[in-house]
Amino acid sequence: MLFHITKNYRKSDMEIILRAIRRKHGRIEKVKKLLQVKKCAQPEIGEAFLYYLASDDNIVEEVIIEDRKVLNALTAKRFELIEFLNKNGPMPIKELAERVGRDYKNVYDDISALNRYFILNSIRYGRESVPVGVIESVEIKV
Amino acid sequence: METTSIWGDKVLKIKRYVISKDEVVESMEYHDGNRMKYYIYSYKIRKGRKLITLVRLDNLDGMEHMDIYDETGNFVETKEFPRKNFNDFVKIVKTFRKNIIAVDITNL
Repeated sequence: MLFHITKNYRKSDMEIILRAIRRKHGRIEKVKKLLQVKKCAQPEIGEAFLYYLASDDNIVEEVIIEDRKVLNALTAKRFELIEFLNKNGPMPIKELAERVGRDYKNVYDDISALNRYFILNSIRYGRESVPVGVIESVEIKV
Repeated sequence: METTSIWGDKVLKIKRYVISKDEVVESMEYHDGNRMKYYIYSYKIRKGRKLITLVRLDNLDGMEHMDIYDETGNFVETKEFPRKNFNDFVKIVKTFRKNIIAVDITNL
């Protein structure tokens, strides 16, 4: 059984990703320099470079999950969160909980469960955690 | 709905093959037209909240090679390694899983 998820990223998602990269590694010029000297020692530098490179281009993502335990992570409440984020754009989990009228801890746990299987990607920025990306489709192939 | 841009010649394609909630094989390919300019293929494991790269193939410096890391994420060594198709890399990872850092996969 395979779960196949397709995603894309809006401008607002990319702004959050790049903001986090800038905070962690600096601007693109610094990332390019780090790439020359620390590429192997810090693998995330290469990933930051590709995100910078693609900042004005399309980013598409596919997630293939072969662990059927992912079924435990897919609940109606969690799909509601996915739909809400798709429709309303990225926002910190605290704001998300307020806007959907649910307890912060339950929403945090739901987002964490979806992150664990890469169904959602949350970007940490300071104390905030912001789920990013638009989930276009979720298919189950038997 | 806003999007990053209309479909152009340049695109970053990310693919994640999730073996389990603690193991993922990840591909990032930057395409310019029909040409794949850069790629990074990584095998990552989850330790607590962190994802740690164990093996990584890339061509970011223009040279196709493999970097190997230990289970704490510290860099161990670099080896020459011509690009594999991502699906082949997934097969190799699934065969060796976490033992992959102890196996010389350069001859596969």
